[in-house]
Amino acid sequence: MIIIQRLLVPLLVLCAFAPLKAQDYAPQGGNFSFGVRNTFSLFSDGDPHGFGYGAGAHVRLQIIDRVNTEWFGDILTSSILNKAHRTDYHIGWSVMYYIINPRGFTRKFTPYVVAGHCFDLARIKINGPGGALGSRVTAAVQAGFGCHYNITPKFDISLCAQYMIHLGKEVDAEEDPDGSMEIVTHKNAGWEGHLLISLSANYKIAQLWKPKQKKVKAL
Amino acid sequence: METQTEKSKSIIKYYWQFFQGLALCLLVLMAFKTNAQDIWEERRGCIKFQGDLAPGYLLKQKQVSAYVDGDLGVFVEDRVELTGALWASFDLTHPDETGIKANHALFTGVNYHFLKPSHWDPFIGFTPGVGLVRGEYKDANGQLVKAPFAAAPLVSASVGCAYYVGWLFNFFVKVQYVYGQTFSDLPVPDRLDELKFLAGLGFNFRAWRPKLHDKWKTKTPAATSSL
Repeated sequence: MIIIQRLLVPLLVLCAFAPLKAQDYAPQGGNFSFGVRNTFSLFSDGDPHGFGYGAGAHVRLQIIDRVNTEWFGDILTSSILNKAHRTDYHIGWSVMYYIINPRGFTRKFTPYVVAGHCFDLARIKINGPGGALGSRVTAAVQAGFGCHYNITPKFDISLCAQYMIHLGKEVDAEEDPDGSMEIVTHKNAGWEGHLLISLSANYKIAQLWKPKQKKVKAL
Repeated sequence: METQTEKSKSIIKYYWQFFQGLALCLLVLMAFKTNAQDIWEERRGCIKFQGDLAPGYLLKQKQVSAYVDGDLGVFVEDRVELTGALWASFDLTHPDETGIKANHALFTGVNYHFLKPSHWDPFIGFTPGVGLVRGEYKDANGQLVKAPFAAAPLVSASVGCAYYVGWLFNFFVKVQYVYGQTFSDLPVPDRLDELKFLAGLGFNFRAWRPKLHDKWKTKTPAATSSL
């Protein structure tokens, strides 16, 4: 953790001051893009070895050159010990901060940090007809890192890893010693969550507003 | 009674003959120098669509599947095509067999085209989707029971190639890999991992004329900032 702090903090400070140079690229504020994505869920509670995946879509609305927002919806399913399954419905939003100047997305790679909030409906069902069903709705927060690969300035493939923490009670399927499964609910589960890795394809459809181009004197 | 294997073999034979016929048509067209016909020099603003009877192969079940498929693509840049596809399945399993009885799907995503606009147009696609799937299982009494339809998120990628024979037509082949699983009321989840094959005649036409010419290579402005 200390190593991450020592590496990350100076990098972020450096990046925060980087835009104070002459800008030769069209301002990117107002960009509206649409994307589709596949999301992979790892280390879920209930079955730490379980691997879930889902599909979804998002739109992005860029505020300024370095700050973008993402509004997403996902459906994820994962198997729990092959005896139960979990379905997560996510709807939420994230703020992305570009660590390096995107230069109008003419760079091939644009790394970013991301953090946000979402609502999560989780449904866990024991496999088979009439299997027990448990569900809960919670809010969740997520944060992580990502990177755009800009194939053209308007079109990118993005890979993003975020850890999502569910706030509130936890619903889970647990295996009894006799091998049967039961749905259990824990109040105030704390740091229950999962790692989400998203792969998305995005296209900038329009620029909803044209920001004024400011000339900033080089330091 | 025709077994599942025999049915699969006859379907594979049918599609093999279809592919052979398609390859022959393509060769004949090329022999007659069809490339003298005009094709769109700029793909941006073009719309492409096709409808097909398409086979698939369910990898886990080792079973042939069949679909009717419709694809639509809009070129927003010369190299970038926003695409969507709707697949409706036919049930090829025997009435007494368990397994996947319906496997419909909707895919949306992006195709990336490697080459400048020309007759040949190879591409790769990333098209996540959602399936509407129904399986059949045997209950405790050995009776066949159909599970309710359930939505299944799908991971999908594709690779393909089109050959434009004119401003209106293209021949194409595409292979799509799909990864997913369905739960519904099934006692054990069923895999939906599959290879879908598409080939045939597609249509393309210009929907709008781009105002700005889409430069093939975007010139990068002189960089001034180091970060």
